[in-house]
Amino acid sequence: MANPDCVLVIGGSGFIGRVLVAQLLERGCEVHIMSRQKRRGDGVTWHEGDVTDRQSVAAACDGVDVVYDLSMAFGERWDDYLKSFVQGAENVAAVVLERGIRRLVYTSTIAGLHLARLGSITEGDGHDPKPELRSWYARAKIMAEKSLNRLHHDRGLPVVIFRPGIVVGTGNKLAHPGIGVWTSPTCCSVVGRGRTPLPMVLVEDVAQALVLAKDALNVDGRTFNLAGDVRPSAVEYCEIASERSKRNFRVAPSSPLAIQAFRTVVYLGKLALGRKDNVWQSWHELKHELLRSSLDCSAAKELLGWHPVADRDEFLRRAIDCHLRPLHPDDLRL
Amino acid sequence: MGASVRASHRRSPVQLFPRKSKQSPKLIVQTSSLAQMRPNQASGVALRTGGTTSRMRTHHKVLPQHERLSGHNALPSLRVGLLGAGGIATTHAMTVKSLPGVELIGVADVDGNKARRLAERFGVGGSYTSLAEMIAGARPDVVHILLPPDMHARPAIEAMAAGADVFVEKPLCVSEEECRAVEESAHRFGRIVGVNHNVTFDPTFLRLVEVIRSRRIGKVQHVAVYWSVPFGDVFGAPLFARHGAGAVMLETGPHPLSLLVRLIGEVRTAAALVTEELRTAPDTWQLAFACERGTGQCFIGIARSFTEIRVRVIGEDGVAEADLRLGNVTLVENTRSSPLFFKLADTLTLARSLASSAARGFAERVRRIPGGGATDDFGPMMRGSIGAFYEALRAGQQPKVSLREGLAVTRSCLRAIEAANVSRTRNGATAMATEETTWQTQTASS
Repeated sequence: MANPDCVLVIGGSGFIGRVLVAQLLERGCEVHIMSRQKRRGDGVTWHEGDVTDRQSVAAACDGVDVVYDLSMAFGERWDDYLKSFVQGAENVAAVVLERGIRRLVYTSTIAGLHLARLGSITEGDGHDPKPELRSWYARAKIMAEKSLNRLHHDRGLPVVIFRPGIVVGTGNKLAHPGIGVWTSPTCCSVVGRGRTPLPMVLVEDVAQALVLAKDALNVDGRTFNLAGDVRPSAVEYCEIASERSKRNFRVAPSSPLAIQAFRTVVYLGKLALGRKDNVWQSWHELKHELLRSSLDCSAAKELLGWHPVADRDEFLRRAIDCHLRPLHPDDLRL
Repeated sequence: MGASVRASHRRSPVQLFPRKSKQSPKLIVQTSSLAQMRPNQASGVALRTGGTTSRMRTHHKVLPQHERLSGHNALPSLRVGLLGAGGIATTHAMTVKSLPGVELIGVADVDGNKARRLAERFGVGGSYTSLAEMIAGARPDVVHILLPPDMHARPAIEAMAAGADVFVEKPLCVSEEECRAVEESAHRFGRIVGVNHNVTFDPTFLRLVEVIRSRRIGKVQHVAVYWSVPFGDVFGAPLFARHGAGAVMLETGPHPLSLLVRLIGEVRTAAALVTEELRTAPDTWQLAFACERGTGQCFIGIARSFTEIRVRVIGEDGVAEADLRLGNVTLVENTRSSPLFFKLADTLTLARSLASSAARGFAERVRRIPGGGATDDFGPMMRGSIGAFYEALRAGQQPKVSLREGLAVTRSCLRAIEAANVSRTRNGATAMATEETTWQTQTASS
């Protein structure tokens, strides 16, 4: 490569970020990483910074051709989400516009969609039309997407947005929080019966799509959903994990009505006690957790040439086997 | 020859933890006469050449052992001889007599009267005063070695050299040298060695193993065995005179350690605290182990008034416990309940599993009433252990309690004894000052 791209990966030390950085380095890119805590890494330049601090973003963007914004943060109040996700994304976008950077690749989430209805959902269906009824995380991501799209529309921000599904693989864990609420290391409580195919995607496939977006033509302002072709349900995932790990992974199905009734009782109880940590969780949010919609990812395949792993065994090897420890040959479970 | 084996154990003054002599006598077994007597058997071949085995002569070609033993009804009964006519021999005789395809054909004991009485009681034609006599006269396919622990290895090797498989009472042997000699002989003569770790056939323990096999507690990480029993008092026995306090481990230790070894493998490193609690002899052993597949603890208390035999297994995803006295197995798994409810929910689940386990145990006892022995816990274990050995033998497979497991349990016991020995010798004057009550913790590594 005569003129290798210089890329900045914000959040390059995270789960997806590490794999993305490895793939970018393989392609000969000059990689800069910005994270809240400065670390060391071979072949990369590290910048300490935070997306909420525009100066630190600007400092890290010197000489950069492409910026990946994989920043992630959680908080205890809505203001924390607003600051980290919405203002953070706007800060990065502003620097990209100022510096005339070729492309901004932003990772959002499928939480921004409303996956309650049966049938297929494409990028054209847009995000959840009722963000005010969603969790703070989903609402903040929806607002960030809206803000970036507006900047693209108004000021020509060269942004490409990705909504990865449940990202699995090395660096995450077998008891993946995207599958349900893990009440213990091997028991996953899910909304509904847990038989719906889940929009899982390998971390390597997500990184591949992000890398492809760097040089893809005519994709500015586009949003892509990312889910692989192998989509086990929560029950299937636990059965496979049990078989392969020789542990008792299992799903505890829960009726949405029962969950909502319980949540309502808790909410009213906290209200009566005047507790400040009382957050209403809507029925609209709960229905999304059923994940009944099928995520259509044909746009990423057609426009980016994205090819996620389609072989089931290969997928399971990378999604599940990477978390397993070898068993002693005399282990009684064999 | 059997008599000479027994005579070789000279009584010595009481030693609590006798140190190993630098030049322990080599374990040499004179096998040539037996091999000459039965050349085909000595080389592991089934063809019989004489004696009372007329039915065996119907074989017209030489068969390897696994073929000889296959087909439950197609082949003649396995001929069994008992070496040793002491207390446990009666149970072996009863069990062997009750098994299909197995025939009790001789009893040998240095005390000819005891051998004869046992033989007569079970309608066995041959009684002998030595193993050599029994082999020459009865030509057993299998010899049960039912002598004191430190008299197992030599006759086992003799029997194997003469072409017989052996079923040895626990422990398989009592020293590393004997372990190697037995192992080498089993390979050399191509014989099968089974060990009577009868408690590993306790129905409650088997249910515990099934819980582990069902993967409900994940990988076994730690095992604690409590073995507090009214029996096991060896302090007046010749074994104690010969082996000191180590006799406790040799006599009683194989029981709890066979459970532990089955679950997490052989002990690699041991630490011991041995005290005199109820007797003026080391009757209480507290042991900590690092084993092949996890860590373990073992409490051994002998000559106690209350029986407590319990195995607690901590896995990566739960805890299972077998109460071998009450016959219960309980299980606590990773919870499926939310933090608010899990203590209540999981306790109720535990209570239900306990009640269901107790009910199942009671029903099993009631079911056994017509056949007798409804309250007998020892008989079923022995039948399970001996029966499994012959089942494996007929199937041409390694016994459930194989030579490998027998050696692992023996070596584990030896490491526990060594840990206690090391503590005493390393602590010198300090230990001596308190030796009436305590030997302090030290380790012995493999």
